[in-house]
Amino acid sequence: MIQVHNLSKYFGPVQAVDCITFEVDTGEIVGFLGPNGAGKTTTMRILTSYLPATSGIAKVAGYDVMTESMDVRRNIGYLPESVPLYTEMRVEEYLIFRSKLKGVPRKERTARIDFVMDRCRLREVRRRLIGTLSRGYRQRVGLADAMVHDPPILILDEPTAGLDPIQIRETLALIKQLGESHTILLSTHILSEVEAVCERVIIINAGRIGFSRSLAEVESEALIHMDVRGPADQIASTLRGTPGVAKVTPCGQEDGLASFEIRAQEDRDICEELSKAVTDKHWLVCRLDRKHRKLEDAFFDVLREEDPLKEVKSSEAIKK
Amino acid sequence: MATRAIKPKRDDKPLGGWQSLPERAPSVLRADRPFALRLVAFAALVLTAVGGLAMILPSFNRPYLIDQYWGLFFFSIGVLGLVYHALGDRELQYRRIYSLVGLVLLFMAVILRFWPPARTITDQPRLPMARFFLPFGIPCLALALVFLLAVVRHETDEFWRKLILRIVGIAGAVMVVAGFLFSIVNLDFGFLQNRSSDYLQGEGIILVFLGLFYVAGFIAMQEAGSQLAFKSGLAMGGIGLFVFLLALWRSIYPTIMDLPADQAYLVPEGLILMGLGLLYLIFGLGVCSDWVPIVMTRRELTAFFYSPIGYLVILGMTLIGALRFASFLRPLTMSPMQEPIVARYPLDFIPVISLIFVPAVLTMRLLSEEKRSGTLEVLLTAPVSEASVVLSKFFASLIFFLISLVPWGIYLVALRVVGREAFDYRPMLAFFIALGLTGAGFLAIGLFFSSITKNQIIAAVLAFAVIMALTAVFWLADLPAPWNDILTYISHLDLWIDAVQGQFAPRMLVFHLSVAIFFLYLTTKVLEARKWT
Repeated sequence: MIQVHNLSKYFGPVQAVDCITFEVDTGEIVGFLGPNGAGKTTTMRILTSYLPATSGIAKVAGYDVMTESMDVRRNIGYLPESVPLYTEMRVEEYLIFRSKLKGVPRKERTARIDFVMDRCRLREVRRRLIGTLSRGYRQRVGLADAMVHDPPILILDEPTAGLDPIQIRETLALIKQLGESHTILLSTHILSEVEAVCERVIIINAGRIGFSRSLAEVESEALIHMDVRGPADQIASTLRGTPGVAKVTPCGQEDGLASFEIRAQEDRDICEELSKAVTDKHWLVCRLDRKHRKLEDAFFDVLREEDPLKEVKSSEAIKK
Repeated sequence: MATRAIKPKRDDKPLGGWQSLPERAPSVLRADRPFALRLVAFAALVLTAVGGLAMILPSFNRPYLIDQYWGLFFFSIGVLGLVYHALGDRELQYRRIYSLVGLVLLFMAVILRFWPPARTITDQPRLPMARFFLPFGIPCLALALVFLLAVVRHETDEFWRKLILRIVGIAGAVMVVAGFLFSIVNLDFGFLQNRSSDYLQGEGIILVFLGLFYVAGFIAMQEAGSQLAFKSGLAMGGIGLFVFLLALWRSIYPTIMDLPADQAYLVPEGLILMGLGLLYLIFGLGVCSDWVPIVMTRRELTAFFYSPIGYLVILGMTLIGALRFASFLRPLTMSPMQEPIVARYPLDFIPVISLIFVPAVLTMRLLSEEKRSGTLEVLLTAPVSEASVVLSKFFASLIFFLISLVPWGIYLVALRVVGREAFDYRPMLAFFIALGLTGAGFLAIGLFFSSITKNQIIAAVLAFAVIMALTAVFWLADLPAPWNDILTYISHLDLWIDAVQGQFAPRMLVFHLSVAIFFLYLTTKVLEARKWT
């Protein structure tokens, strides 16, 4: 439903998005992650055809965002980041106005507006001025507006920002339910939300895609954590020499206790081999466990890898 | 081997087993105790009584402590206070009282329309039937609508709400049909003037306007998405279209059939009827149409009434009109004057400045505010083209601009109807047409400057400066030959002066129309410019 190919966007000299390529299939819920300023909002604005791309192709629902902008806009529901609304209108009036703009037929309009007001829990404030509503309620109005014409694709920029805990769950449940029949691309900073609803994540950093995998794949990857008493350098080289090990990351040393994070090749369980390799050298294993790799770990991995200042700063110095 | 002892556990996530809670209102609405409001109501009641007595008693040759004019003033203030109270107080007994007041006023208006009968006293002109309808019946009708709508707004009893709304709707329909019917067809039932043009220029136009307000109130009070509202809007649009086409045909007919000039229909009946028909058509479209530019024009137009700017502009124009009207009347009472006397009415330093100022003020917010608050992004990611955004804002501001000019015209209606001065008002029609088109140019300029900045004040100042520069062309008008002609086309002051003196040449509008189109085009391009790479 959404195809992005080599998309770049410059604001003058600033490179906001750098040659990104990804796809979102029909019926997928994809989380779009990244630190502040990574280019998420810019990408979403390009996808909604609000901004043009400097180069590259983006297609939404089969329509090109540059040349067939109207068709694109008919097929998407977009919730912008700061949820700008006409503050002088009333909630229901605003939804009626938006549904007319989006071409909801007159006969279905009342039913659609009732539906979205129910789902976004706006019934009690339907006659209030939007200007008097709190941030969370405005967010709900924005979400209701995005869904009012029942678009096949929803593009939501931080849909849960500013909501209360109940409403966060309601919104996530709603997104999950909508995901059965809709394609959803949502951006957020809250990783647990992504884990709750998304099937796939795309992590973007400094305008580049660092990672695009399904969540099940991320979580099936295991990470072995090991604390060993002994000389850190030698232990690391021993571990690296153990068959089946893909990567060893030293995680610091405390009271002669060295910590390591170990990734195995092909995700095999090599705890026994590691334990044996270390005890053979008469170092003591204090801890050895294997756990799922969290989305958070993957996220930080991406940020570390893509950090353009990596060469400059000494990570050890910062840790101390 | 690969995933021994590790299974994806997707269920202990935040959404596992989540069940919805019932929706609750974010805050409790407390029933307010309208003490101050009732104090206002009490004072207003006293003022109404005092003013009413002061107005009535002199007719029975009884003296009273204040004279009639102060009486009218007190009465008006008192009624305003009562309306304010009716709009605010939700309590049952007041709702019933005010609905009764509204119904009685409506009933009185109906009686005044048929009573007293025509009377002939020797040596005096014949007194027509229902001679109190225009000065007293019409205000009764207007007040009745205000009170009834104020009541319906708070009414919780379904029966009363429906009853009152039905009465308002039926009264509106009767006024619309009667107003148009007797204005178009020469009918003599004994209770009408027997020439439709006389009827149109007196009672007809007022009834058609009031009827529109009644029906508008009726539609506005319906539930959102109501079928009845839709059908009423459709009917109003249909009536408007019919009247417009009929008036157009009757205006063209004498010209193409080469009939003598005294059978011409265009000025003023044709123009007035076409204007009214167009008004109804626009109203009907606004209610019923789902066409994006119309939907947006409607929103923009209502937005003017949400902000204080709209009311300030109307109030200002009313006051300026009143001052101008007062200084226009003074010489009239002293000596007879040559037609067209209205030429002296609208043009003076302050009115001209206000005509330049108002477009800049009306348009300054339109696009700059949308850019600043980010609503433009929401708007332009819906299937709405830049051109329809610009056009709808332009037409909404144009309609509002024309509405703000209405007070100036109303004073003249008062002079004609109440003062019974048969002056030539046709130059005024030409003046309003000229004003509408030059105003369109000004508004387009204002809209353009609003689109290039996020700051309302900068937009207003730039627009004002440019329109001032265009105005200054007037004083350049004594240049050598080719320049002089060109500048006459550009100078809108020349156009206004010509129009108001009855020398209106439509070709002079070309420049102002071009300005409007040119700046609207530029504005559209400014909005599209974000997509240029």
